[in-house]
Amino acid sequence: MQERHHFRFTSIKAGEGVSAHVLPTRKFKTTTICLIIGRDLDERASHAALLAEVLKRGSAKYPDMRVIAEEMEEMYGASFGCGISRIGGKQTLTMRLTLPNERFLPRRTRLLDRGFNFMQEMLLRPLASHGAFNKDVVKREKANLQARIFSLLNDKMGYAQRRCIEEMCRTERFRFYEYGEVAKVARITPRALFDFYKELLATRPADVFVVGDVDCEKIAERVERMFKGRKPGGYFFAEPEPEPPSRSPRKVMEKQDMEQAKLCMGLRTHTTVRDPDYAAAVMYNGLLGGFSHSRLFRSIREKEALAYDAHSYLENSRGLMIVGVGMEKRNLGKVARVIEAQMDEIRDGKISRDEMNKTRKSVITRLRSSVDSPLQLMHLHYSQMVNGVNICLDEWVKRISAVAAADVKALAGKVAIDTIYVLSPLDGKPKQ
Amino acid sequence: MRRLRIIKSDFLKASVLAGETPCGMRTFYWPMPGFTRYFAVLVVKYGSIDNKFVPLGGREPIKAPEGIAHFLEHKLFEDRRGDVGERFSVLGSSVNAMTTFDSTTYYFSCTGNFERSLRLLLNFVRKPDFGEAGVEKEKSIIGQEIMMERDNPDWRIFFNMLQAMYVNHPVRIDIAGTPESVAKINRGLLIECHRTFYHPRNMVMVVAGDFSPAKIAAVVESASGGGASVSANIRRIYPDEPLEPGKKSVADRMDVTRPKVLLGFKDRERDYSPEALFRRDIVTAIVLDVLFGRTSRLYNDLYSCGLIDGTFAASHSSYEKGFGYTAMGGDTDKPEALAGAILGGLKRAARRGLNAREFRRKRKKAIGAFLGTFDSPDNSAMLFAHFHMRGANIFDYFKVMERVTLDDANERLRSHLNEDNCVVSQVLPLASKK
Repeated sequence: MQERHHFRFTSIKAGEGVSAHVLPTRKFKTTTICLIIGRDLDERASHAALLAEVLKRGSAKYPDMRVIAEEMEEMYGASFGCGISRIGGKQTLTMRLTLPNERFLPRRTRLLDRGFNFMQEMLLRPLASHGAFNKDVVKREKANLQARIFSLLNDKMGYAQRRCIEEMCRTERFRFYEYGEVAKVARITPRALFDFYKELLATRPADVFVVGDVDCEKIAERVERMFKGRKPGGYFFAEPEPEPPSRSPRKVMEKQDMEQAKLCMGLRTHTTVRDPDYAAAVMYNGLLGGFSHSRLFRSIREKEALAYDAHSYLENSRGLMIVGVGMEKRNLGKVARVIEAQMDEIRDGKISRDEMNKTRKSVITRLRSSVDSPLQLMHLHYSQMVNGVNICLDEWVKRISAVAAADVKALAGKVAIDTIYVLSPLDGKPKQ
Repeated sequence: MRRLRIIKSDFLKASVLAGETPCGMRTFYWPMPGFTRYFAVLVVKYGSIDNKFVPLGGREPIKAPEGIAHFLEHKLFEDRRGDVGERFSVLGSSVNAMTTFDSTTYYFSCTGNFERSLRLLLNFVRKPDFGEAGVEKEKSIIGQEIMMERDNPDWRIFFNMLQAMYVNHPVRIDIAGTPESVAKINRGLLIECHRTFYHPRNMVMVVAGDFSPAKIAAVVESASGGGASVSANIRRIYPDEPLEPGKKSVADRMDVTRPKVLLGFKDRERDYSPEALFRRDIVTAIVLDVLFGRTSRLYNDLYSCGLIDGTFAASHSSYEKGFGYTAMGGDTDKPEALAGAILGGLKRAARRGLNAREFRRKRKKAIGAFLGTFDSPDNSAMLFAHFHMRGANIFDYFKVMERVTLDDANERLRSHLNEDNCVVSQVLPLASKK
């Protein structure tokens, strides 16, 4: 009964700097369309973040949220989203539309066409006149975006991780927050935003992903029509930046009125998805803190009972790893020592066959599971594409399976602690 | 093997097979061709509010320390060989659990070794195997979990609302308990709770994925043990709870960047039959969607004048154990003004009644929203299990919804979403910062 399906996108050039990536399948009850425009993170990250919010709020044909929501309801509960995300040093503006598949609807309806028309309106005919976006919309969305940037402070672990990355990558693109900066948002005018929008459309690559019961050729044609008239141009990302010279770990400490201290360690693996030993880096992260069987969780939580959560994650385009732990303030030193001791052990090659086995299986399960989610499939493909690689799922499984303990040891030899960031409760705060 | 009964959904073009193990646990098998992932969920009808009960075979009710259901969930992951989660990892499966007000849910997902993982799940949930030392250690870990949640403003505003709303009902207590209540927990108490609540008849299992139901049913039946000797007539004791909220408002200060406000409406309905609950859920969801959905005038007015932003949300939860509430709110610079505008909007809506056209369109919308939910084995199994646990069949959703009338919706709006039932909970930035 079990048959392994091959989930690979068919990529078709659909205009200047435009590609359609289509995955026809009858597995899902819905059709998902994602239109992604990518750019390098820079001083204008705030512009892109604001643009996503403004585009989402209305177009010439669908001038406000109410009309948009009505159109969604008319499309039998389609869902629409537009927002910013990041892949390493790149920022993406994504418009997403999820439609129920026509075969489940009471009457035959041409929903896919209607969906594409809607996206075209939202992206290409925005609510603007005389070279500027609607000023009321811009004003309101600026306030909302600023509040959103501020609100990162309310999520203590999220804030600590962001600050750790900022401190770690002070000279790299990576330092920019994908939602921008409050002060920069304040200075954007409706006209400057419109100029930015025009420039974005004229210079940045656009990728349209479709997963569902659809036809490749028809989708490619529809996408091509959407972007008709784009001039030939670069549509490229910047070359990857060189890594900063290595240095001894820097310590940064901040205090806030809170109950629990957070420790974030920023590590450099000096290994990216473009490198042949990236699979070993994935395994290293898995051994150290990627799972609940990993060393951090085992030692800090299960053995020492110092924390509820202790984890690490690996980022693929720069090979940065962030370790995060929340604990009582007085245990900060203890936790830091445990983390370093675990890193030392892996570097010394004290790696058990059992932990290799568990980690390998967990990584592979995670990889294989992605074929059950249209959004994960798209993300896997896109995040590799912008890094200039195209490795299929089966090949990743093969590479992960082939990683030996000696490979992880070798990789661990390259890993260096860059930044130790601590977010701590104020002094004098009563003991827990 | 026992025969499986077919439950069909014409709308989803799906069938689920229902069975019962010899020990009395209800089981459901949902074949989902084409999916790579397998998912299994085991729900125990036992949550944070069930801390006063008559132990199985006993006569006198006992009161267990607050947070014990959640503590037990943590401890079942420990056995004499170490950590159960690691044995799932060996199989490439990923296991987790959560405790809510009225349930404890254990689940795993995998892409291979499905049958072995299933046996493992059935085994560790049903047989506690942890020692006294582990119980002591767990207190520190849960202590850190409680501290983490206390730093979370959304958690705080929500529990403050429940504490103001409920005078006696244990829903007002943090699911994880307090450091003081957790300190009182010991192994004996945990075992007593397990013996009483983790009875096969008090559990439901749902599995979903690309498998043959007969084969998986055989695995579940053989792994779930023999006949249940005692019936599971668990006596849970809940205190009397007044209809009105205990307090009308509550405010807290913490290091947040912007005020937050949450309006909670205490449910006065006392019919907790599965049909009534299911219907109430659906009617309330439609009312909220008409009033606060993106197509509503109120939502758009509040958004345009800057009183709300993308964080605004409204939702309803009703439970069979004597409580239910609707909550709405988000981040705002003017919490008082927002609370006033919402209450004013509700009053106007109650006077005029809901717009009939809007009301009808919500049904059309529900089709797609509903379909999307069933595009993953995880969601499908979770939803099915939780609805079943409350005596409802999620496949009846459309049938029930089609029968809801505009009058039903208006009646619900007027009786439930009015100021008498309302609690306003706020979290404000520290006084020193603006």
